[in-house]
Amino acid sequence: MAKKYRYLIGIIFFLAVCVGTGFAAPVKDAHTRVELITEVSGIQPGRPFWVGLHMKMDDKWQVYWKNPGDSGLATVIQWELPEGFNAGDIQWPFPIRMDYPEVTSYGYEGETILLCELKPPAGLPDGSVQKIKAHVTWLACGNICVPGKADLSLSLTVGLQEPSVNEPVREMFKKTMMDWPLTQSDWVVKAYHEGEYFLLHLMAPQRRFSVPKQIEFFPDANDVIDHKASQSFRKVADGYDLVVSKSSAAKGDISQLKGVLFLDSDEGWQEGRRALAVDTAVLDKSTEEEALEKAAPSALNRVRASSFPSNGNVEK
Amino acid sequence: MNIRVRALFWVIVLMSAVVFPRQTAALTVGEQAPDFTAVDINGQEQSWSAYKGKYVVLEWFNFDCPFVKKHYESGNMQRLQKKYTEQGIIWISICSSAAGKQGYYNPQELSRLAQEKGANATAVIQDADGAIGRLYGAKTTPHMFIIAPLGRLVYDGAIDSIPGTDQEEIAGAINYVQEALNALLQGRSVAVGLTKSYGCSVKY
Repeated sequence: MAKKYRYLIGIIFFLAVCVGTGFAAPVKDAHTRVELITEVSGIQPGRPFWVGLHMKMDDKWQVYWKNPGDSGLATVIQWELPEGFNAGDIQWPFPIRMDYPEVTSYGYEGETILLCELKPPAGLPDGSVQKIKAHVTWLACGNICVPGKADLSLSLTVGLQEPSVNEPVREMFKKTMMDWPLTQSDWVVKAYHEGEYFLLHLMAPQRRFSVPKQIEFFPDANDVIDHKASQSFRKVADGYDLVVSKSSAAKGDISQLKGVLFLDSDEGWQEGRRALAVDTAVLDKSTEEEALEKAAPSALNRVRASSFPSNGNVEK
Repeated sequence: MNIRVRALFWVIVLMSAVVFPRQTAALTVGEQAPDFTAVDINGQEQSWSAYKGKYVVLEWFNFDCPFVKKHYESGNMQRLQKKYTEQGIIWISICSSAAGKQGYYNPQELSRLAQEKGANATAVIQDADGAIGRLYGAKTTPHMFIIAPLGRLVYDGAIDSIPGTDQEEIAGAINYVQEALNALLQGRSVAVGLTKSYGCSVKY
């Protein structure tokens, strides 16, 4: 009995420590250890802060991106927040492509952090403790798939002063944010129909750009591209051309491509960022180019040259 | 077309021939489905051609996959099997898990499990070498196909519209197989013939 009590006291002490530091006990389910983490020791009224769902998978186990590809299932976070709090959407780091014999999926191996921005209300009383709860569900797959779930919580103390920062967690968050798709860049992305393929023409902001090991397009929607087919790129005069197979299950004519472009090189698209957000109309290549050629023989090149630095934002 | 465009066109044409052997489903909705012959878990020979003149549903399953469990533990799959086999539709459930992989059971075990779960399929086939699975391009469990009486493939895809492992999702989902079979039984054509199947990868 005494041993049992000691154990309980230990737990109570541990929980007390957790409340103080903004950490909650991790949960292990479905070969994945999940935990809510923050970089701040406490929160300030009205000031948004980041909460991370830290997922650590067993060796050779994977969890999935928002579009899981041919198999799998995206991780879902359902927040249960104190009154007046708002939670933003999950900010997904770019995924990796996972090829199985007959299917291709998109997700994470090793570990990942899914960050959400939480905004507390302005009128929180100083010194009060706010309990953040999250019901998390995910699918982990190794050779087999296992659904995981966990109820996680985090108790955060409200302070009017600037909270102290947990540097190791801040570093982890910064590293994760580097893996978020860039929404502002000087690259220009154009997409064209090419029969059974999409051609993505990626125009570089400057004359010099390296040849990456790989470029991969990850679509937001599940039924736009053939996940299994290999994607192929080549360097062209003003950037890269990437050829992506259309999905046979694509519903109707696809007029818009939305997703993430991953570039495998150290410098990335710019400033070391290797993922670029894409949201662009799919154009009928032949029509556009023929029209331009009729207007003037080299008009196309001029249009491209002039569009280099000006149209800086790939988001349309 | 200028030279650059023409060159690019040929690059793509060549790549499509060499680099991208198209890996999409081996079948096309609207075209003839391939025939197959196999011995089911009760030792009966099964083939599509034996059922010529009837609608045939092919259901890929793996009893240990959470997405399949959702439809069997809720009774959804058995309900569909019962409803449509009673109306003369042939329903064949196929397990393509290879020996040693998840969901692999020998025919006797598979028979016992199907009975335990109250499955109402016309026949259950253990396809451990993956021959039928690959022939049809079955990607996930579940993955559903419907073949029309003259052998035309009329549906290829998901069981329903909500990918997930939670039984509560079933009530709010559009069941594509049910929609398609109801339309066919009423003499209408299938509105949605091709969807993206969801689930576990088939354990070939």
